[in-house]
Amino acid sequence: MPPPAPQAEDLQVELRQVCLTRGATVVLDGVSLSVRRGELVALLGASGSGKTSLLKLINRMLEPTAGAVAVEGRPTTEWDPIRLRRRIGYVIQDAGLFPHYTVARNIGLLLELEGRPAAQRRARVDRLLELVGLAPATYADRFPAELSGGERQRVGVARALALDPGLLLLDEPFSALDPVVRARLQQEFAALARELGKTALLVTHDLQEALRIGTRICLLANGKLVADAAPDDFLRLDAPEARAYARAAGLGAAPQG
Amino acid sequence: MMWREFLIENQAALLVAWREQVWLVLAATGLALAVGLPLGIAAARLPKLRGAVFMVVNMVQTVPSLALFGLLLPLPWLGGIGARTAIVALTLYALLPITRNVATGVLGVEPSVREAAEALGLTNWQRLRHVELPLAANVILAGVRTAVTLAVGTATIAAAIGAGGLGAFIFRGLRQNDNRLLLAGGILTASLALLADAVFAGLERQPPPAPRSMPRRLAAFVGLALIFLPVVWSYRVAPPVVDRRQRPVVVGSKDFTESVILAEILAQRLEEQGVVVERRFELGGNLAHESLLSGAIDVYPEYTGTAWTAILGERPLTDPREVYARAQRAYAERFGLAIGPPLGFRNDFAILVRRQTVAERRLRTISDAARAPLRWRAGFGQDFMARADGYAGFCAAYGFRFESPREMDLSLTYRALAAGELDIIAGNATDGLIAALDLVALEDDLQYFPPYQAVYVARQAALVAAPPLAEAIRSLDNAIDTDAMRRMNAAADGARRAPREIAADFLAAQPWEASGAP
Repeated sequence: MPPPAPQAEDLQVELRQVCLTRGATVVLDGVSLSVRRGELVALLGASGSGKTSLLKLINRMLEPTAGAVAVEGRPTTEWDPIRLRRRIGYVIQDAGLFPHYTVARNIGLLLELEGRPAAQRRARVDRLLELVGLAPATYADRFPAELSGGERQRVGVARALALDPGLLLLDEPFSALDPVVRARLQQEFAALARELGKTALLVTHDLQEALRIGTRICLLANGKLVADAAPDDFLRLDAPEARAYARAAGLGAAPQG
Repeated sequence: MMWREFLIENQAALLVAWREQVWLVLAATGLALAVGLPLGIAAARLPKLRGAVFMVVNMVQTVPSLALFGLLLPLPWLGGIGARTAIVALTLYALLPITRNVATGVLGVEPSVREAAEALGLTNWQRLRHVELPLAANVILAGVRTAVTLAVGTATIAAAIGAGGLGAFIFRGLRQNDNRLLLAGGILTASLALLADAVFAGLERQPPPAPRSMPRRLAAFVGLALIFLPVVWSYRVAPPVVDRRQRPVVVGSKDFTESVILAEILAQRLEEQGVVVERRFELGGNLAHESLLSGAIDVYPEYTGTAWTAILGERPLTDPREVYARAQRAYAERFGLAIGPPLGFRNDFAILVRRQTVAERRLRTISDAARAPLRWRAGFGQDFMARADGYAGFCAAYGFRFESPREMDLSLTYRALAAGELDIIAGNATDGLIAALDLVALEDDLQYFPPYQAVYVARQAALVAAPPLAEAIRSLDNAIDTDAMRRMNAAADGARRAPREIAADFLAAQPWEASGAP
């Protein structure tokens, strides 16, 4: 059951019949997807299903072969890629922190590049560290090599929030963490995103994660969007790919018949 | 103590050579960095360009240094003799390690870090400045370190094209059979390489949070001081002479003792007349002639036989007067060069053996040697092997058959012959080493070797522009006989006296000094 047609000003991201081919390989095949302000969309799919490519189309790290992508109601082709990316927070799997910069500089680099004064930067970095649950006094001057995996990922999230973007893209941000840390971070992130009123697209291959964080779950298979539902409805979907996920996670209804 | 005198005597020259070497390396590495950094970044960013870039820089690397110097020499803007050509060549060599390491370093940055930098919205330049270059810094530094070590070594070859540096001592030591010169040049070159290496070892950084290593930083500082203190000192001992009031007459010489002495005699003769002289001595191979043609030098000592066969490419002739007259005409017509009057002696090829061999085998002439039932171990200079009046014709004329003669540096053949490693070599008749090493020249009984009369060759334009040059050349007409030349060569190669002093002594003994003219 598709959600009701949204108002244009509510639309944070819109993909219309997007195709992406790389050489002879079809990565995305006619994907349409609208994300409204405040939604936390979990993009679920196996590796190679095209979910990471879909994220990169949104911040112009990739360009679609056909179809159109719009952010905040404007086609991405009209956005300057640098300006666009600075309005969108991005978190990747192993955080991708700059190993030669301290935690504070990692988080504050974009503020620095935007020309914010040092005092303001310092205050903002401290605030962001508190938001992701790291004590500024302890962590600000550490280097990434001195952090645990979970701490690195928290810094990654703080860095993505530095310029206070309305939209966050997250590419399997928690998948490399151990289960206990992962569960805690998932819950904290969902709470934080809701508290700050962020819109987020989160790529994952883990249904549990999608259910914990997502307000909506979209399932990609072989470059096609095969399911799009609220978490509660997802487990009851008929699409065979969705049922395979539910079964694998031990959450699906037993096959009928 | 021999060494002490040597060092006191050569202190200024060694300091200047050190300074020249340091500047050559510094200039070349700096230029290579200026070119290699953007080139390496471009190669890293554009995979299509990468192959082409590396093919070119790799290819440059495979050209032997002396060949590269020779190839650059006739080029109008980059070439010429002196430091400029050397810097261009050294830069080309330094380009490979620097470009390669820049590209490798940039490509070696962890993909997740690069992706994050792009996704966060860093511009191309900001990604380089904040992420790729800092993270590639150690790899790039290692490339520069390799380039510098390479340049220190290769810069010694630059002495062959008149760029100076420590190589001049090494070349001179080989030629004059003087181990002190050789060792001084070699040890200082090695020291410079080691010091430079220590500096770079100290610059390298372990990734944070590791602290910098204090002993290494200290070593780097000391290394830096030891490299540059002699440079500073050298400016006190021997400040570079810059006299722009008058266009200097540039006197060149080939890279052997006799040529240097003859050039020095002419240079001092000019200076006596108040002419400003620039010395571009010890030019290897055919560089002296090439330099004269390109106008980089104005005059240098040459031999008529060389001019006739090696440069003009004519068949060898045996009559000295015919060779002189025909070479002079051909030079004027073909090159616009003037061959001055004969200096009074000939430096023909001489087939040399040890005195002991002569005694044992009762040899007098080359024909005797050719007939002797002996397995001659022969070694010849590159020049002799290649020339029309050299090896091939010589073997044919005398019926010599050598089993694989060694082709090696001429001055080394003397040492090898004296040491008993070789039995027969082709040297030069006036060479001071013949007497110094107790060698004997076999008589050219078939008169195979053409005459090599010593002369000065000058650019006609230079003779017009500087009348004292023509005057000085004329004044040396028939002024040096074979004995005098051999004595001067022996003074340099045997008694290790400086060509400058030898030339001064010679000029002081000339009659025109006594009469006070002109």
